[in-house]
Amino acid sequence: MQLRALSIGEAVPPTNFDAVIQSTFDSAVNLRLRNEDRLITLLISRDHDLPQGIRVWTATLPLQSLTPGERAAIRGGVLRFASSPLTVDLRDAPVWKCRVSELALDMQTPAAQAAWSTAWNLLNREQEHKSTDLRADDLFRPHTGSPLSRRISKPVTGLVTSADGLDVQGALHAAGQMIGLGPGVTPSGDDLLLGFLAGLWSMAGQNERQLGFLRSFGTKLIQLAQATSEISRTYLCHAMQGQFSSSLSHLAEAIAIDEGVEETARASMRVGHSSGMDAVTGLLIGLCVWNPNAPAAVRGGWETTQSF
Amino acid sequence: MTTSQRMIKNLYRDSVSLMQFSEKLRALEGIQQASAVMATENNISLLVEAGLLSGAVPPSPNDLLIVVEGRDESATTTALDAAEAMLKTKSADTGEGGVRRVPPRSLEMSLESMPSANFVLISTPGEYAAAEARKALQLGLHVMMFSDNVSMEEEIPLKQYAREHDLLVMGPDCGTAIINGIPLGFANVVRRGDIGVVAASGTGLQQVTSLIDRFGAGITQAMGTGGHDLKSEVGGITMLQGIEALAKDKATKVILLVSKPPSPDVMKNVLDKAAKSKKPVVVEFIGADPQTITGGNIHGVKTLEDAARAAVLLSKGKTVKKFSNTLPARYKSLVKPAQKKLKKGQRYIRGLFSGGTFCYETVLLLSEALGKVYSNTPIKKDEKIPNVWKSLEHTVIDLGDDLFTQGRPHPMIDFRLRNERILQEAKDPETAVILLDVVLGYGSNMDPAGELIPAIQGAQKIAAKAKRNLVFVGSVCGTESDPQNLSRQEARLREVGVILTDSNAQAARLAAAIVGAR
Repeated sequence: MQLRALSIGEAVPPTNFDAVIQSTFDSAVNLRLRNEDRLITLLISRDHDLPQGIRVWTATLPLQSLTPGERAAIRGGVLRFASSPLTVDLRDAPVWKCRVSELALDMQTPAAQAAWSTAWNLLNREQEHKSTDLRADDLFRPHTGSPLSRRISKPVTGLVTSADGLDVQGALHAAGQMIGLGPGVTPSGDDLLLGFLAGLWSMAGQNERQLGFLRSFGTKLIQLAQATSEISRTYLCHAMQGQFSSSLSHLAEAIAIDEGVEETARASMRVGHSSGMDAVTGLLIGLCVWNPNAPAAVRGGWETTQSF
Repeated sequence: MTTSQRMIKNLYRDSVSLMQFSEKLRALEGIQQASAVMATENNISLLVEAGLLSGAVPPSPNDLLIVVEGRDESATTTALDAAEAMLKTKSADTGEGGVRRVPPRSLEMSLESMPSANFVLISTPGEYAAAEARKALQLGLHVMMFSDNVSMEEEIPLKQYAREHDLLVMGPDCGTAIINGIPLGFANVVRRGDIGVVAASGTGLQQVTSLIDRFGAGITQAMGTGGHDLKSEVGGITMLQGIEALAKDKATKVILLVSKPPSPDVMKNVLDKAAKSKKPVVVEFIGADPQTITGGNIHGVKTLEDAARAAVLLSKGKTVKKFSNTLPARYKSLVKPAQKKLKKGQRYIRGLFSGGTFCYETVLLLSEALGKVYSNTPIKKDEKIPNVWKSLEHTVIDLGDDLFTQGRPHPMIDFRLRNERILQEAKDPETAVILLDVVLGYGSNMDPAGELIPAIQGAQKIAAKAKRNLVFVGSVCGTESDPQNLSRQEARLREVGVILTDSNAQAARLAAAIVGAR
């Protein structure tokens, strides 16, 4: 069976490579590149683009013939598997690039602040509706919510304060308490951190001090990411370089122009059981950094209302 | 109470599966608590804190840690054994009880797993599509044939069989439909409403449904017929069935038909059927004189935008007046500033289209305003472009033509060819306006603006180097609810100087006005 790639993330090597199947899911297959500590991911067409993703033009991946450990390789733009007739033709697929770092999102504008509030309220409603372990509002109410919310609340506040002060060591200390924490193959703490980084990258623009913080924090975070699963670590490694999924980057863009925020936020939150919501939580908290007008609660004031 | 744990090496399950798995464990006899998480240091510490782990275990972030709390050791051991067995037998494609669920390999198998299905979308290579469609019809299923390269000799008996059995065949080469609110193929996310559409044109259907959404109304059903349906040989079987279905449908208040002009015999049958529907019917036979169509409950219109506008007015119980052929005032004010940017020698429009119907509508409107327009889909034979790779005077190219799509995705998905052509046109000192369509919705590129912007900026640089300016005019076909989001795409294109109108027709008229008298 020959499938065609619909788009290719910019972190996918453009040349021939060898890999082994690391894991298979209903709608995704992870390949571990030989001699490298990173994964690339095959996704079905309705999924979001990923920096490390190859979106394949199909509604379902024919997984019955793929098993973890099996060899895979790209030669001449075609992905083949050692013991499966499945091939994926990458030759005509456009490269997808995450443009979050070009956004220079200005959270001082009333439009962006209104968009933020819309997304935050929607997020809390969805988290309540889905009974997720992590709820955005609970993070800023001490001794409230699930054990996970209570546990992650302090490092999240620490992360905000440290990022605000461009304090790399403080931010690393907070991140260390979040990495690998929570349910899912990409634990909630990782998803939240990922979203938080997306928030910061979408605002930094050309600000050298903020970019310097992000680069320095990112470089050191790679070490901490060894404490989480390989799949989650892949996402974090791209996040450190300002590369995120299209679901997160679209939400940042929607907030930047205050257009289609609800629809985009809903789409971003639909990823996994709670991964999408955890990442959106992180993104919205990240957008409160470097902004004296941000909701006091998010910036450590322990208030209960979160709106600009 | 006793707690026990087990580590499963290198096991990955998505979060939904893990959550369901934990719930199943909690439901086991004698078990109070269960958790399945990646064995990271932080998760282990959380489990210790929650009293679910009696002591720390060495972290192993790529392994799954299952922890259960139960009545006694016997219950927790039984639960962990059951958990391990479940995980080892339950792969992503297995059903309940560990029985491997074989993916359906035929329509019969699919129907067994979903007996209530009454509709099938066929997207196999053309040579196999007719056989699959026949099987589907024999199983009592309506058919949408996305596949192209199906001959009329195969299409006609399929449609005749379908009609005899009260089934519908949309296509072949039916790229767009919205059935019961579900977009199929290349389609936009539009609101539900009371307007039903039957169209022999994919992008024509996308334009009218998107504009209906933009004008505040919605769609009941939008059916595609495929491009051959209104030819004499096929006799408009699907369009006639579509009209009949919409006429019977209580939710449909207004019917809208879109096609290039059918052959005369088919046109008569279609209009007769429309007249009998007793519902207001808007007819856009692109290129036909609306006056020859209008009468009784039938309202002929000239452009896709007029079609959407008329349908919305009728659905709101208003009367349809004759629409103006001229550029609306809000666009007129954009003409002079654009003209001022151009040098004397910049005289021509270069239209680069991904939608076939957008291209055709543009050729019609530009010809009306400017005279000769070369194209690969010309109105007059002598205006066929001699070399599709090189523009000549006013040129409008359908990049979705088979010639351009051999071995590559459609230009609504893959922008490389169009981007190369934009740069090529920028080098021509006679190019004044580059006219574009942008199509959003399912199936299309997820970020068309992002694809086009580097080429637009590149073209502007090329022109600037030669001390010229280029004017970019276009329209975005889509809705706010489309995955790409209409406003966001429009905003990004406007940021780089593209002048956007609400519809393809207005974009063509604006481009014509810019290169016209100056």
